[in-house]
Amino acid sequence: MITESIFRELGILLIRVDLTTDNAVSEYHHIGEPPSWAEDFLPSESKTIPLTDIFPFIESFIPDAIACWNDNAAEKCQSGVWTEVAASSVQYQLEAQALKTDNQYIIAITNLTPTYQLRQHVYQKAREIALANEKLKLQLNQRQRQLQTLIEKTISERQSEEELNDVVKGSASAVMICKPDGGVEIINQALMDIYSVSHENPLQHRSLLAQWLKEAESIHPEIHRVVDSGGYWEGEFESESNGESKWIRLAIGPVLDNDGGIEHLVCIANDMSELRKSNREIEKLTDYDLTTQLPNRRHFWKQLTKHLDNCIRHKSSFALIYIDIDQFKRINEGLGHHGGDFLLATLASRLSRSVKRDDFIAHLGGDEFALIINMAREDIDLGKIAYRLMEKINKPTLIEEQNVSVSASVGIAIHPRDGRDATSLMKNADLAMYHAKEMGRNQFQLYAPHLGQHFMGRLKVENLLRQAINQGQFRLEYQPQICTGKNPYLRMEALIRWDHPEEGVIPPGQFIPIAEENGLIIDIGRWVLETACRQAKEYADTGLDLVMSVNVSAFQLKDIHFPATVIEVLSEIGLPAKYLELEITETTVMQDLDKVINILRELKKHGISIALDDFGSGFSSLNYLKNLPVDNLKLDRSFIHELPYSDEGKTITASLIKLAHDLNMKVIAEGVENNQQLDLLLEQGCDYIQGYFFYYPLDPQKIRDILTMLKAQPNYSWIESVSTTTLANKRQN
Amino acid sequence: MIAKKICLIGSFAVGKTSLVRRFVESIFSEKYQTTIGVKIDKKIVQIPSQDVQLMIWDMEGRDEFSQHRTSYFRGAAGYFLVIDSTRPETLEVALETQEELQGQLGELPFIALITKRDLTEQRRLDPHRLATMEESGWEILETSAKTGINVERAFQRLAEKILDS
Repeated sequence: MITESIFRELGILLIRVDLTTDNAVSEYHHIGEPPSWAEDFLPSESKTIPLTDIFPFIESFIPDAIACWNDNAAEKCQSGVWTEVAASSVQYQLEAQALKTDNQYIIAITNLTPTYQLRQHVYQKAREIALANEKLKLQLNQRQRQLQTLIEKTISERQSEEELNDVVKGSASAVMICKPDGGVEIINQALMDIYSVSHENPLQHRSLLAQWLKEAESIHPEIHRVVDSGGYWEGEFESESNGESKWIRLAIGPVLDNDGGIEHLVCIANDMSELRKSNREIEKLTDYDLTTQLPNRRHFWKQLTKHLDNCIRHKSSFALIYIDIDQFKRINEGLGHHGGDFLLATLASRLSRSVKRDDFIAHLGGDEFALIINMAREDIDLGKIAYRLMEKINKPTLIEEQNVSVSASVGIAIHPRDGRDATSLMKNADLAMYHAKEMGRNQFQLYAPHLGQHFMGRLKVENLLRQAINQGQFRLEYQPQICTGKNPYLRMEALIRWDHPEEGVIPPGQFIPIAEENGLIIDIGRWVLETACRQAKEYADTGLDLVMSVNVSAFQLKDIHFPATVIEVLSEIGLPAKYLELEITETTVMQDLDKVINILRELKKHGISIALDDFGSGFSSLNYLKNLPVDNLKLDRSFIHELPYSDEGKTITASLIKLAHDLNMKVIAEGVENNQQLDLLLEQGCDYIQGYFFYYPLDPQKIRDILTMLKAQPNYSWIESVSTTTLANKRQN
Repeated sequence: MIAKKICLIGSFAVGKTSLVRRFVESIFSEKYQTTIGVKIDKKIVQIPSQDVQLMIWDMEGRDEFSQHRTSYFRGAAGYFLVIDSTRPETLEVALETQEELQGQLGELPFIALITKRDLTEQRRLDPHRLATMEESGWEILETSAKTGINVERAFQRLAEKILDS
């Protein structure tokens, strides 16, 4: 799935462009958190960006972009590379693309700087060779013309044949002087060397002029007219010599008689095959990737287009397989660029050995490979091919005495079913690949139309999310956590709800992951914290001591200013810190244990309590638990769900509760839905219970009603509000 | 202050980037470093009537690998056609380019810059052709990014031509 975080990781800055009704740009907004390179350009405060002031190049691109957005057939258009110097004097190589998605006008700016040096090196090399060739050709032409003039002068001045022979024979260029009908008068060794002809066979010589005229005619149709009319002709063409093809540069100049008729033709030829060969080398340089020696993206596109034309002509089919190495960036950072390059080269060689000769494989750049697989038969098993490729990638690679294992996500699109042109096929194979990545990586996915819809749906949620905070579409519900003992505080967890005016209720599971990926979780998190604290303060002001538990995402904890933000919110609202609990997940903690521990300590210092959410769901060692400044453990609902029927589940919950108590922590069980679960948890000494068995998440008014009702009763307690005797009985015991 | 976009265009390795570097940074390097795409620099030139900020678009040299886009020239107020004095082929490219640009942009002020004036021994351009071009109204300046000769003047002249047009 192409999400903003992936764009950010790829160094792509996304800009949404608002157009006026007459197609002028009214505003630019960047979408999500910009990639780090963009911070070198973007203003730090304002969210509205005068984009053309920041990137003057874009101004020229905008009309193309608008044309592309207005043309429903066009999918995207590219600006070409440009170099921009940031305020820090660092030079960046950038490229913009105009895209239209879900009626949003998007400009995606990619930072090409990391790969630019390699590209620059290739183009530099190619142009240096071309420059050297050009100079060589220039010298050759000059020499050829000088010789031509000298020979023509020698003939027209009627100098002796001996003198003429000296000029011709001493020349490094191949020379033939002949009659207009091709009858050879003089021929030198250089020409005989090119065409492997001998003095003994004059018939071979006679046919040379005719051969040249015929061979040159296909690309220089004017040659007959020019030569027959006594003009000077020069040009290059492919000529055959003893079954071998050579590139010949030929000049034919006439020597005219006093009446202006053609008396002789002076033909000077040079073998340009070596120069042509170096031109092919240039092509190779620009068509192949230097790291993997595989065809590069440029070459791939040419091949893909050729393949499409062929398939359309022959009504045949092929598959486009798109491979992306999983988390290559991390591997590259760990191994260093040399290690990363070695790994790519190894994978490239394995992949190329595992495809058939007629298939085509390319390294598109970075961690991306693409294959064109001919589908001679319709029942060809693409899944099997994908598995084979993935197996090759999974095989460990020894790099600097370490065995490095990588995986890949693979997307497959089939022509013509999944796209009739190169762009659609690539786009759909790419969508399928991202879907494979989203499904957990190291797997393949065949393109299906719903992937596109899924992607568009996700993009839609992303766009709606931006408006949700400003338009007040979020609200909080609160779910009580019932104390099984005698805790003076009531507890409840704040849970976010999104009521969209047109889309209806959008569940948190659908939007929170997206908000976490595009960074909006920071704004949403702050809103939740403020709203929940304000609510807790309101309850506290009516005499209800209540601990409000608020969820905190990994993203928020990455911000070193997070503790300061929390303290600021508490102080603004006037809520004592002891009424706030922050819930963090085990996975969040494990992402950067030391940093998280410091942040949690800082928060606890101010009197805020901490709960560890989803405990037991991660893969982490229990050893870290003793160092964590945590007050409450929330047992993962998957354990509770298994109770009381799973013996293993019972053992795990009992052990976790005991472990928590030994470490002076309380235990909260969430997802409690029935009496049996409750009985067992009480038996095991669980401290708090949360779940539908007691209360669904409720709006603030309902919570207030319950609290008011309870408060009206002497010795009020949550427990009395529960219509089960079990808990009360257990308490009495 | 008035800002004007100008473009430098011509074959690869004719010295477009060297001219810009000499003009903007007063630097010259013998080392050929190919440009990919476009690089934009800014410099203010002072002409008698007013100061003009030139937005200088140094474009990738034209060859089979480069992709020149119409958009690159959008909004240009004038341009330099850059020709290497040692490579006659680059004059042909300049002539073709001028024809194309005239078709695309109409009559915009331009100056043909013959570069590498310091390489007198290697000069290969046909003086008759240059004379014909001048007769047909082309303004031609011979420059050297190495010695700096006529570099300031070229930018100054183009700015003047733009303001006069």
